[in-house]
Amino acid sequence: MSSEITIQQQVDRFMQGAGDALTDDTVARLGFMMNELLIIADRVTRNKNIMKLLEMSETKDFAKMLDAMSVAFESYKESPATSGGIGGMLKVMSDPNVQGSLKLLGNFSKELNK
Amino acid sequence: MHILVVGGGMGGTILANNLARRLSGELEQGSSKITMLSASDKHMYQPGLLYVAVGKMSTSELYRDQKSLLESSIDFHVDPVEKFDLDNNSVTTKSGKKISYDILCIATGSRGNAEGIPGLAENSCQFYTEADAVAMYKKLSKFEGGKVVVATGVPHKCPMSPLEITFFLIDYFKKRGIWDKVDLHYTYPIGRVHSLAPVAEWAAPEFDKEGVTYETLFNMKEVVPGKVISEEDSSAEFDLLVTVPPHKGMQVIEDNELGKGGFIPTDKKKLNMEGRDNVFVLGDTTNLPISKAGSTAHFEAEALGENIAAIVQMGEPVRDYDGKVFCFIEAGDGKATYAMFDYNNPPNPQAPTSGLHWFKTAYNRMYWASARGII
Repeated sequence: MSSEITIQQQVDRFMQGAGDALTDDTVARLGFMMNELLIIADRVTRNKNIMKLLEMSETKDFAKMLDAMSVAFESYKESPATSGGIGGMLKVMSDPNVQGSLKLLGNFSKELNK
Repeated sequence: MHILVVGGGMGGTILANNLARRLSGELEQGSSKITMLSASDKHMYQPGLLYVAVGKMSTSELYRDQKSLLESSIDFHVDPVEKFDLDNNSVTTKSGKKISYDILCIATGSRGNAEGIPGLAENSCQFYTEADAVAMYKKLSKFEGGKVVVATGVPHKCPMSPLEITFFLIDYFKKRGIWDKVDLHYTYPIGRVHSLAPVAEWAAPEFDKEGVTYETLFNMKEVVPGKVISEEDSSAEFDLLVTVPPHKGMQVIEDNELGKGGFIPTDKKKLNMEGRDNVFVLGDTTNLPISKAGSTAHFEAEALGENIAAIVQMGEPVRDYDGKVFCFIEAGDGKATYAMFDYNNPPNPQAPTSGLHWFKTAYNRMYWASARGII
């Protein structure tokens, strides 16, 4: 057997091997998966809201929001349990960052109710 | 502009989705509306029945919810039409609702008519309904050998099905190891083994290769236990009779006198009902002398979608349906070929290949994307 085979022969052997390895069931499963992917892709690409969300996800603000969420969760996990009561609440509320966050949530609620 | 689509089969579904995509702006603004009226909330992949009949597909794979296949902008109701009042642009549904339209699309399909031939329903296996396909598989699985006859009525749905079921039967009996105990005899109503001459020229040598005998000019007249008798006064004895029954249009079309045999006279290029500019017909419902096949409905729906959208947006249709049909032909032994043709070009089927069989196998699962108007 010659050790040198042409590109065409390599392609032919590859196709033959791929063909022999496939079964009707495999092809049917791949067809099913392709069907579902096409439908999802169609829905996603034609849904204005999802496209807007994707656009938003590329902005710096979006990245900052994700970072903030991550940091907030970490600090929440690490902080000791609060003592509660009005004193504790006043202490949290006096933090300028908390006040800024509440303002953001307030604006969000206002927009939703418009 | 209110577009009413009657029928939620392959043609009606592809057309409604195609229109919803093309007219998305008008639908959003409310200047247009698409309504679909169907007899069922389920959509069946009808070509899958052939596979169910030989144990290659399960019945659960045949169905999806109709609503899940439709664009959300389509107003869908399970409420079949009972009365068409074309002079007043309205229909009346089973629930008694009267619905007016500006453009009407009729895609009600066709149905098997085994009862049209005495003894056919009682003495043969068929695969055009889920119950029939399952019953056929059960009968096949108990068959241990003998004379099998394939017989075809006219007109019938899916022009390739007589050939495909024959090749599938060969495969099935070979896999069970009883092919040497089976005599397979194929009959066909005209003077060759298929209505399309190039397909017949390809299929006859394939039958010869497998030892399948065949008889042409065989139109079923009557079936009695163990024997099918033809209009031409010949007969074929059988232990198992597999038939492609004659088909006719839906009862509602006959009841409303829209067309003889339930098939509506249709312009072959514009696909409008003859004498009506705002009524269009597609799929099996037309009386066009072309294949009653899913691909026919598909290509008609695409042409019609483009034309109706153009009528809504510009007042005039923009293209003709060219008669395009693409039919896979399962040739057994894990191979398939296809026939593509239109009003001007005959098919030219080539030697079957594994690749085309896989294409068809994959398409059986990708049909739903097709129904949604994606492919």
